[in-house]
Formats: sequence, structure tokens, C-alpha cells
Amino acid sequence: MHDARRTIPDASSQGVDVSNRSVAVKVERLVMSFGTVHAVGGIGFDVVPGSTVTLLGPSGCGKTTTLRCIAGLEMPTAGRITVGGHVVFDGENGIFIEPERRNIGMVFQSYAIWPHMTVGGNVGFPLAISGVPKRQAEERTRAVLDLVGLGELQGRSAADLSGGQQQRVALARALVHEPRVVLFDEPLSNLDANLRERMRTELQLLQSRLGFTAIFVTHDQEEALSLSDHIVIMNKGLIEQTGTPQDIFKNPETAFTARFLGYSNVFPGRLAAIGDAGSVAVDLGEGRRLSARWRSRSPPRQGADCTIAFRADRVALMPANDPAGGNAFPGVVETVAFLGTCFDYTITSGAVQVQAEGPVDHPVARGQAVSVAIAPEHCHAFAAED
Amino acid sequence: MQGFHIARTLLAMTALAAAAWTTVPSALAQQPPALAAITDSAERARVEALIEGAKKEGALSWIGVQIEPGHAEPIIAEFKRYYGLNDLKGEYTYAATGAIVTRVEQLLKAKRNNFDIVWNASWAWYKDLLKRGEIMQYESPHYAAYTLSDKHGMSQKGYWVADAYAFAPVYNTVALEKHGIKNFNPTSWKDFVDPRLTGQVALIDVLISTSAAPVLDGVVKVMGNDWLTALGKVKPTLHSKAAQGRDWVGSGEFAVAMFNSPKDALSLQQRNLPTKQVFPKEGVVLIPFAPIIPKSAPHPNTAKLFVDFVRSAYGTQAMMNAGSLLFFGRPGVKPKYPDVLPSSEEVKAIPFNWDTEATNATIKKFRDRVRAVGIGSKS
Amino acid sequence: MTLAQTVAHPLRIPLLRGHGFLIVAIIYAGLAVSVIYPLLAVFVQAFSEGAGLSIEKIQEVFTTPNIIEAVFNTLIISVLTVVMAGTIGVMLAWLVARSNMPLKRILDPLNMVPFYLSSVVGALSWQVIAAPRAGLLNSLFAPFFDTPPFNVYSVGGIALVLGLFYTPYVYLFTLGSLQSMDASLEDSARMSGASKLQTAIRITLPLSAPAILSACILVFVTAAGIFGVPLVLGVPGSVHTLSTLIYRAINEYPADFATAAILSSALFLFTAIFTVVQIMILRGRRFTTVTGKGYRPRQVDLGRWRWPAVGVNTLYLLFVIGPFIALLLVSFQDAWTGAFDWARLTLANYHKVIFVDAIAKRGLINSLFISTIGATIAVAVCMLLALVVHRTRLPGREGLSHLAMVPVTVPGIVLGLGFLIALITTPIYGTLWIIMIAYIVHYLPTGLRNSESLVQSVSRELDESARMSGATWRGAMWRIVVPLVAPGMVSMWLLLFVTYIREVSSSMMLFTFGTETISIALIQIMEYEPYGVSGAFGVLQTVLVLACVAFIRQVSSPRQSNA
Repeated sequence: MHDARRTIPDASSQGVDVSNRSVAVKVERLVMSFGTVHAVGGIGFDVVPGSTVTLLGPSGCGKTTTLRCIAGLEMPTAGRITVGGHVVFDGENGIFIEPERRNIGMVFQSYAIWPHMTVGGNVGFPLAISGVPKRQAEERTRAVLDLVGLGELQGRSAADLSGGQQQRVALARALVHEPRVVLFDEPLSNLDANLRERMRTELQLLQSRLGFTAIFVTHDQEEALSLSDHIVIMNKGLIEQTGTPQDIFKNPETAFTARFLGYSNVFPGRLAAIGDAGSVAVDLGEGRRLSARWRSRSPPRQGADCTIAFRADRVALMPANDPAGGNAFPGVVETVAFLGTCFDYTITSGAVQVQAEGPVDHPVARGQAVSVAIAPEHCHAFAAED
Repeated sequence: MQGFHIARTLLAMTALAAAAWTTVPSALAQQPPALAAITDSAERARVEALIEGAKKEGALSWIGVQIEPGHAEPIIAEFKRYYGLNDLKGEYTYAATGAIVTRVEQLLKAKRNNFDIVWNASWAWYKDLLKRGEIMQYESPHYAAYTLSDKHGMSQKGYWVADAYAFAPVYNTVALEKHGIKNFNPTSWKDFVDPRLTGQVALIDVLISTSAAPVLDGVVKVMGNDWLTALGKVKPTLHSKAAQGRDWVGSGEFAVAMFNSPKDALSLQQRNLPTKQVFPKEGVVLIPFAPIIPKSAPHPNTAKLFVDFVRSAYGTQAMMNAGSLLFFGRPGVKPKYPDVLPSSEEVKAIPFNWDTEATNATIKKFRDRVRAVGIGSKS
Repeated sequence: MTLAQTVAHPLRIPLLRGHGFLIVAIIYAGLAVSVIYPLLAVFVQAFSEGAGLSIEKIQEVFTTPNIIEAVFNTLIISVLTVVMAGTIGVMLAWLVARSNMPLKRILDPLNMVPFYLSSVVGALSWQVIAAPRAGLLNSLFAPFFDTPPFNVYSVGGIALVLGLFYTPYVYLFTLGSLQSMDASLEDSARMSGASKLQTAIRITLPLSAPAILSACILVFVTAAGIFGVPLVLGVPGSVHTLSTLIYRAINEYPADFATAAILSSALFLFTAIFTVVQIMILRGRRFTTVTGKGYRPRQVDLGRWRWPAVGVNTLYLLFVIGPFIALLLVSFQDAWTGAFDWARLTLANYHKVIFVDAIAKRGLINSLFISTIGATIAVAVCMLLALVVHRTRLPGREGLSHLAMVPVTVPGIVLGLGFLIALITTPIYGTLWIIMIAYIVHYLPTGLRNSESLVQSVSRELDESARMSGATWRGAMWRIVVPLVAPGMVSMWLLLFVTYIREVSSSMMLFTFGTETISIALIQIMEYEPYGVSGAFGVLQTVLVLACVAFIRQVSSPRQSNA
């Protein structure tokens, strides 16, 4: 479990943009064990100042634990964490800086608004603690509340705020003492869809205005893709893949990543042939064969089991036996669902069920025989999952 | 030792009597010892009728103070034997003087009195009950022998005759020595207000207790007001219940407990504690202590028989032997523990009129005097 | 559940609907008779003499010097008790819930032990160790002081014993609040720059404040009206409280019901005013700080203070349990002379309370009877009340729960006097039932609060779906809600059982000969028996209650302590 295969010890080699050579947050070989369970199995990544990094993964993948380790709310088992050039945790040298001395802001999933204080009391708390003179603190509280659009609520009791208001108060509180880094633990998950959309935009605006470094934790891939400069995908306490949203979305490195990013077609297969420049041919059984790009880091081996993945929107449904569909296999349309912007189809081809999307102007009827075609560059092949 | 001897004799007599019954014809064997002792035929008929009634009633419920539960049991057993009431269910409830008044009053108010015998030391309350007609009129033939009770003004013709108990000082020799007081051989009340005893004296709370206040008042009448002033100067600590004083002087918490009853003195002595009881030469106030039958007694026949028993020569001696350390109101009862309890004939009584000297008004007036010398105020 | 629904399903009319008004009216009447009527009886007694108003008597009572002193004593004792129980209780709860103090698993249940012990027995034990001259502690310290340093026969001594014995109330309330609190509320304070201590003081404590304050109200009212401890520790030193004076007024001859009623009214006003003030402070401060996210609250690292913290907790336990050990020693001595003496070793005291003194046995049996039946009735009544309030739409149901909360402000001795005045001429007087009813009424708020939170913990949808499946209201409650809260009901039963067993104040007013409870029996035995015998009875009583508790805990599910 201490396998550091997926760690990224050197940021430059992993494509994190470090053009200005400074790093806001640096996590190295971080291990967090609860008894014999390793919640985090030795990971590392860097965060560039002013950027937004998202830790993305299913629940239990260790992303929140990682975030809480950065915050100082958990005592890691081993590793090193540097914030703004200062080592805040070092397992080897026994360094542990208490959370309140790390100058990090944090927005909690539950927002953690203190119900026994006013809105102003909540937001002004960090200033009061650090001994900022009362008048100045009030002004700054007011200013940051204005920033999140709650200026008029300063004197209100915090006990009866709506979800959206609580979220803004939590944000204002995390920002008021101008931390270098702000951590967000699933900040949008408790909001309804509309509000989530708006908050997402507002967060981005705020960040560009204030220039803080943000680390998000979420299990929502859409949220991660839209918010982040950089995404760290985690699985079972380890990093699966890091990269920019486009990068990751286009080129998943593992079947897990592909599945997690919404690749609805993931099938087991066998490597039938290995071409050059990473192109391979995958046998899906019963004569179905697709050309694909090899994405795993380990080199492909002929005859080995593998996994193939492609997105539903990359599937083209051709008339049956259409010779134009080179990388294709035949099937029959089983279900059709109208989704407004597109049609959603299920195509059965022997033991394989393919999800596909089609344009609204060219509907395909249920029961129709079709040819399922996917361009080879959109077909991703990986070494078989354990 | 004399008491012990008498007890042994009695025991032997009982055994003999028992042995005798087994040999006489069965008709005679059923005759209880009480009837066997009666010669007068009218009296015999009266007692027989009461026994018949008592057998139907089948129970006796008695509430009292002074006589501890452990001492009441043999009395009830002896009573049952004496009148042949083998199936009688006798129940004794022990309570403090004030608690008896409260509870019985509450039961009377609720019209649910379930006591056949009330045996308390609360003269004013008895008089009040009498006035309210709550006491059953009953003149036991044994009342005639209660000459000492009459002499000390403790009898109420047609209703009760009384025994008495008294409060006398007890001191702890080890505790005294610990405080540097040696050769303390008190004989007078005066010795117990010795300035050397300052802070070492426990006194029953005369500001609360209605029986203790007249007792102290009586002592002051004999000793004079200077004595009360001297008592104030030794700063006595007040305690609400007699047992507290007993335990305090026993454990050495206090060197002197000013007002102790003989039964408490005996209990200390029996546990080998270094305590001594003194009956001062000026005398003690006798506190009347009498059994009465409430008019609402549920088992009147049994109650009357019981009063007969505990006022008889046989019954009083049985009580004394069972451990009821009382000054009996009739002469001739042999003290069982003479060193804590002089005989009723010998004890020097301070004259005290419970009708006129223990009224609410006199008690209140006396308490003001007690407060005036600083007793009961925290300093 | 709405009217429309009921009309639409005529076959599923809930039983309660048809007779709804009637049932609510019956409950109101029951509460009025058992809660309001006794209080009114006290007031009427206090303000009337014969036919007229008795202003003179009231004036006379409140100008009597020792009554004024008693008022002050009562106030000081209550305040000291609350301060002490509050400080220790909150501190221990914080250590157990929030710190990495070692041995927590052992200390936590031990901290609850004083809850099961009788404070009267505690007072008796403290007498053994802190009597001014013969107390063990004073003998120990005698060489270092001119005057004995500890005097348990004082206001301070009473407050000390009460404080120790009421600490578990504050402890339990605070612990519950701390354990259910959303950990991120504290984490976010740390992220805002607050240190551990600042977080504890500015976030954790204020968030627990409602729980702590309600516990403090309870302790304050109880301490103000408590009777047993001042009787044992105050009366010997002539330290009187309102409660001991009320008792004395009733126990003088002639009984002074007027004074007792006036003092009771004053005591009631005293506790009621404090309660109302505290409720006003609390209003709108009942925060929901519980969230679903399953973080264990973070534990504060005490560093080198870890073991000193264990020391503090142990010291508290020593203060409670130590005196009991002293009492145990005394109970095996034929006389107590300030130290254990092998030559005085005896079993006679136990022989006496087990075989000779009828009152001891009677008290034991009576208390077991009252507590077992009473707790069962109380659980049923409280559950019914909670279900009516939270699971019906009957008119006036909220009023019920407010009315049932009234006894929280009424000291036991006042309630007892009310029952005495109101019921003395009825056949129920002089039976165990009057005592049982007084207990049920007096601790109705405790039971109701418990049962309400139990009922509220069951999602409405669970029984609503039973209704939709065709169950009647009664069926839904009986087959869905009650089974779900059954383990909680066992805990509640145990809580009431123990509370009843220890009760002194109202029993003291209501017992007659034959209906003595275990605590009354102890007080009576203390009237005339030496320390050793009272000690033996105290030890027996303690062992018995602890055995009952252990047995019931064992029989019911083991993990229900904080339901």
C-alpha cells in the first residue's frame, strides 16, 4: 500500500505549471493511516500560487483526508507538507504546525456556521482572534461580506440563514483574514443545481479578484472540470492521474479515470495487435474489433487482457453495413430516450451494450440495425484492471 | 449485676412455669399466666372479655419513642405469652418525639389512625389530645400502684400514668484528656459550664426541641441565671437529635454531651467507649412518658390489655429487663443497669409543673433568654 | 394525517381523531389535578388564615431572623452547588469528549456513578471524614492546623456534597452535546486562527451552552429544594435552609402549616424566577449543531497535561467514592472513634439493619415497589404524551408539553407539601400510591424530555408510510415507533427508577408509618442509631442500587447509554 507508483515527486515532470518557480502548497509522500487502514497511501502533488486544484474522486478515496492534512486538522502518519514555502508538516523531523498557525482558510461541507453568533461575528472571528483592532475588523468584515453579496446581513443571527447564505458566510469567513490558500471541502454539494451554477461562477470571479490559491475537494466531475486549473484524481488513497481538465478528459490514463469522468462505455477485451505510435487493436469477442490508442504507462503486450473505453457522444451510429464506418461493429438499437439536446441510445451487440448519443435532427428508431462507429483516437485502451 | 440476676431468676421462673403447664391437664394448660395471677372474679371476667376481644382483633400497632425497636420486640413477645395471644400480630414503630406528633396528627386529620398505642413524651400534645377528646378513657387497675407518677404530677386520672426519662450529662474521658483536661470528676451541673470546656460541649437544640427546652429551663431554675450565662460562655454546639449528641461524645467529636438519656449512655458504655454519665446532685427534670390509647384505636381490647401489661409490676420489670431504661412511675422496679440509671425512688427530681411551666409562651420566653446569652448564634 | 386525507379514507380514521378532544381534555385534566392543584393548595394555605388574607403571618415569617438566614443559606448553597457541579461537570465532559486524556473508557462510566448514589448516603459518608473533630481528614491534618480545617456541618459542606453529587447531571448533558456536535464547527475555528483553548472557550462552550444551562437549571432547582443533605449536614450545625425549615414547621407541635406553606411559596417563587430567567436567556438558542457527516470530533492533544487531566478526573472520583469507603469501614465498627480499630470489628450493624430493624426492610421493599411500578407508569405516560404532542394534530397538544414541564420549577418538598395539603383527607393518603404519584409528577419533565427526543429521533415518514400501508394511528405507533425507541425507553426507565429510589424531599412530606421509602428509612435510622448502623444501611442501599443498575444495563442492550 505504500506503493508510490502514482505519486508525483517532481512537479515539473508531471506537467504542473511551475513557470514562476514558486509553489503555494507542496505535498510529498503523504501517508495517513487509521489503524491498519491507509486512507492516504503516500501521495504528492504541487499547487501553483493563484491556481485552483481539485482533488477528485469517489467517496472514501482519501481526498478529504488529504485536504484535512493540509489544513492541519489531521495528523498525517508520514510525509511532508509545505505551505507557502514553510514546512507545516514533516513526519521525519517531527514538525507539525497547528492549523491556526498555517494561515489557511477553509470552507467546510456543512459550512460550519456558528449558530450562537451573528453573521458579522462569524465572519469577523478570524480577525478578532488575531487581534485586529475592532473598528478595522468591522470594516474588513463589512467589505468581505459585500464581496459575497451579504453586506446587509452583518448584524443578523447566523442561526437562520438559507443554505446559499450560509455558504457565502463560510466563504467570507475563510477569506477575511486574507489567507494565501483556501481549502474547499465539497463546498457546492449541499446547494441545489441552480445555486450551484451561480456559486461556481462567483467563486471563480472572487478568486481572480483576490488571487488566492484554492484547493477543492469534490466527487462531482463536472464541478471539478469547470472550476479547476488542475485536477488530481484519487482512488483508494492513491493518485490515479493529474493534469489540466482538458488533458485529463481527453486522455484518461486509467480505466478508473475514464469511468469516473463519465465514459459510459467501458468494456473488457484482449490486445489483438500492437501498432506504432501507441495504436493498438482490441478484440471485444464475437468478431468485434476496434482500433484504439494505448493510454497506460506500461507498454502493451500482445494477447494480454485489456480495457477499452469511449464516450457515448463519440459514438457515431451509421446505417448497417455502411462501409464508411471503418472502426465499427454491428448492433441493434434497443432503447431510445429523448434528452432535449440529444437522443440517448442503447445498442445491443451480442454480449456488449453500447451507450450512444445522436443528434436530435436525425433520430434512429428502436429495433433498427446499425453500425456502431468510433474514431480510433477516441477509443482508449488500458491495461486490464486488477 | 443485680438486674442480670433478676433476669436469670425470671427466666428460671418462666422455664419452671412452662414445665409445670406441660404436666397439668389440658384445660388448665390453656390458661394464660395473666389469668392465673388474678384472684378477684370480677377482674378476672373483665380480663377474660378483653382477651376474647383481643383474639378477634388479632393485631396491635404501637408507636413510640425512647423504647428502641430491639427492646420493643421482647416486650411484645412477653405480652403475647402473658395473655395467651399467640396469633397476635404486634407491630412497633419507633420515631422521634416530634415525628410521632406530626404523623399521628396527620393520620387523625385524615381520619385514618391505625395506632392502638401512642407512647410519647409530649405533655402539651397529650393535654391537647385530651381536650379534643382523641384519647380513650381507660383506668387500668394497675394505675393505682403508680404512686411515683402521681407524686411527680405525671398522671392524668382516667387516661394515663407515666414513667419518665431524664437528660443528664455524659463526658468522654479520652477527648477531655486530648484537650488537656484531667481530673474531671463532675458532681454538679456547675462542673459542666467550666470555662475549660469551651467549644467542647454539645447541647440538644433547645431552640427547636420542645422537650429539651423545659428541661434546660428546669435546670436553670435550680442553678440560677448565672449558670445559664456561664453555659453561653462555653459556646455549646446545638444538635437536633439526641442520637447526634450520643455519637458525638462517643466518637470524641465533643467531650461533653450535656443532655443524654440513660439508654444512650448505656449504649455508649456497652460499646466500651470511654464515656461516663453523671446525675448531678442538684437533680434532673423528669420528662413524663406515657402510653395512651387513641379513641380511634382499631384494636381497643388489645390496646387495653397492653396498657394493663406495661403498667403491671410484671410488665414494668419485663420492660426494664428488655432494656427500657426508664424511671418507672411505680416503686419496686429494679434497675438493670444501676450505674447509668438510678432507681425511680432514688433519683433526685427537679420539681417541674408540665402544665404551667412548659406552655408555648413560657418556652418562647425561655428561648429568648437562651438566645440572649449567645447560645445558638454563630460566632 | 390531514383532515382531507382522513375524510378520503374513512376506514382509516385514527382512533384518536374521533375521541381526540376528549383524550386531550382528559390529559389536561390529569395534569391540572396532579401538577397545578397541589401548587394552588400551597398558595391558598399560604395566603389564607381561616377565612381572610394572612398578610400579618407572612410579615411575621419573613421578619424572623433565622428564616432570613435560611433564605440566604438556600441561595448560597444553590449558587455554590451550580458553580461547582457546572465547573467540574463541563470540565470532565470536555476532557472525555474532546481531549486525548488516557483511560477515558474507564473514567467515563465512573463519572456517572455518583448519579446512582444517594446524596443522603453521601452526606453521611462525608460526616465520617470531615466532621470537625472526629473526621478522618481532620485527624489526618490535625498536626498542621490549630483549628480543624474541614467542617462539613456548614453551608460549604452542604454545597460540597451537593456539588459532587449533581456533577453527573451537567456532565451527561454536556457530554451529549459535545459528542453530537458537528466537528467542523470547531475545525473552522482552528482554520480561522483560533488556538485549542480559544476554540474551546469561544466556540465549543457557547455551542454547548444551551445543554449546560438546562442542566444548571435542573441542578439549581434541585439544590434549592433539596432536603436530605441539609438535614444531615446543616441541622447539626444549626445551618438551616428553607427546606429544613419547611420540614420543621410541619414537624413541630402544633404543626404550622401556614409557615410551611408560606416558606414553600417563597421557595417556589425563588426557583420559578430563576428558571424563567434562564429560559429567557435560552430562548432562540437551541441550535441544531448536529450534522450527518461522520467525522469523529477531533481530539485535542493535551501534551504533557494528559496525565494531570487523569489526576483531576480521579480526584473528583476520589471525592465521591472515597467517603463511601470510609462509610464502609464505619459500618464494620461497633463504635466510631475517628479511626478504624480492628478490636471494634463487627457484623452486628448489618445484622441489625437486615434482621432487627423492620423499618429498613420496609423502606427497601416500599422503594422497590414504588420505583418499579412508578417508572413503568411514568414511561408509559411520557411516551403517550410525546406521541400525542409530536404525532398527532390534536388541538392544544403543544400546551400539554408546556404544562407537563411545570414541575421542573417546583422543588420536591414544595410538591410534597402540596400533595399533603391537597390529599390528606382522601383515601390515597397514607398509601404508597400517593408517594408514587408525587414522584411521577415531580419527574415528569425529565421523562417527557427524554421521550420527546426519542419520538423525534424517529423519522415521521416511517410511521406515515405505515399509515399509508393501512395501519391505524395506534397501529403505526405501536408497531413502528414504539419498537424503534424501545432501547431508549429502557434507558429512560432506568433513569427514572434510580431517580425514584434516591428521592427524599417529597417522600419526607408524604410518608406515614408503613410507607417509608428507603431514604426515609435511612434518615429515621440516623435519628437514633449510631453511625455504624446507618452506615451499614447506607452501604446496603448503595450496593443494591448499583446492582440493579448493572443488572438492567446487562439485560438491556449494552450500548444505549447516550440514546
